[in-house]
Amino acid sequence: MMYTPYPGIYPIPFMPMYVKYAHAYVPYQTYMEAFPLTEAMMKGTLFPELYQPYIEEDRRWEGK
Amino acid sequence: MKERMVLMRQIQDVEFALTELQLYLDTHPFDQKALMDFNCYSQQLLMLKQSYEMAYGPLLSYGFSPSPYPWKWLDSPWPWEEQF
Amino acid sequence: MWIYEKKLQYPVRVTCGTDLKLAQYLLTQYGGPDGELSAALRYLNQRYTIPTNEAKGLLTDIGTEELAHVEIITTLIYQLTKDATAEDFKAADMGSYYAIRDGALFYSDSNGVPWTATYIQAHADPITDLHEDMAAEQKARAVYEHLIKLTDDPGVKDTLRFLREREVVHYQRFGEALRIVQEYMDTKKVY
Repeated sequence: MMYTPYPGIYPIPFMPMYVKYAHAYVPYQTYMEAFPLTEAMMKGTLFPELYQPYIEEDRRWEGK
Repeated sequence: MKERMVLMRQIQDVEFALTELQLYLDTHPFDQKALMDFNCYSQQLLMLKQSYEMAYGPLLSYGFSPSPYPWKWLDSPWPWEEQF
Repeated sequence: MWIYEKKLQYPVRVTCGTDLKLAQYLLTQYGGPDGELSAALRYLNQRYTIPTNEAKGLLTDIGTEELAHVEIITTLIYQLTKDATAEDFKAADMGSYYAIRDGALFYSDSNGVPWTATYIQAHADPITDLHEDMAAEQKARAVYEHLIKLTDDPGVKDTLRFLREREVVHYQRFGEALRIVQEYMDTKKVY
């Protein structure tokens, strides 16, 4: 967001400029919006971009 | 009792946002917006905790919350016995 | 130092009352290989050799949050078992557990295998340790998905979904800590 003059390695880009084989990279998050607080608690995260809920595919317990 | 619950839930919500921002700030120490939000929620938490402790006893041990007489630490329900 | 706060991180709710089998399944997130105790001890133990300040902060803060998750798991287990009688244990085919411990907790997985320090690793190499941590978050996420499938109790499901999402967030943060380490190495900065 408001990346002004920083020391050293910052700012860190979304993905590295030069990627290398045999290295793992996670995209660097930038904080933009937040869920309302109660919703954040219920969802387990404050950050909409990190909310990746589990969808149950195997519903073997239903209909019994 | 109902009022204690409402207050507790508010504290949980604000503290959760602060936990999230704390972890975010650990890897984004120069993010000004995150830091501003962190400090703002931190103020809110302070006030919520004060009103909770005034009515229902200490939330924190080791002197981080004062206690009236008699020792109030034992009075509110233990976290695992809480009925949400 | 740690200060105890007399509060749960998440408002845990058990909707359907006593369920000993479910409590037994949940036990693995208490004292199992990918459980919350393992997570807390893994992160707090790696702090002393991780080179960057960002990762020291993260290991401290996530390690502390994992202790709060231990308490969430024990609260679920407590509320699922507190009213159970010896008869209930027998009916759930858990008489052998009752015989030793009654309703007391034990650091073990769902099969009763005791917790062991071999569940956690530290190698001082920051790339290695952060990969271990990211793998641990994925393993815990998978186990939470298994547990979500194993329960019908809406309150328990709810809490498990919260804990599962925390694994996703922690994975992201450890990934960022890894990016920071990589950036330092690329700039050949000595830390």
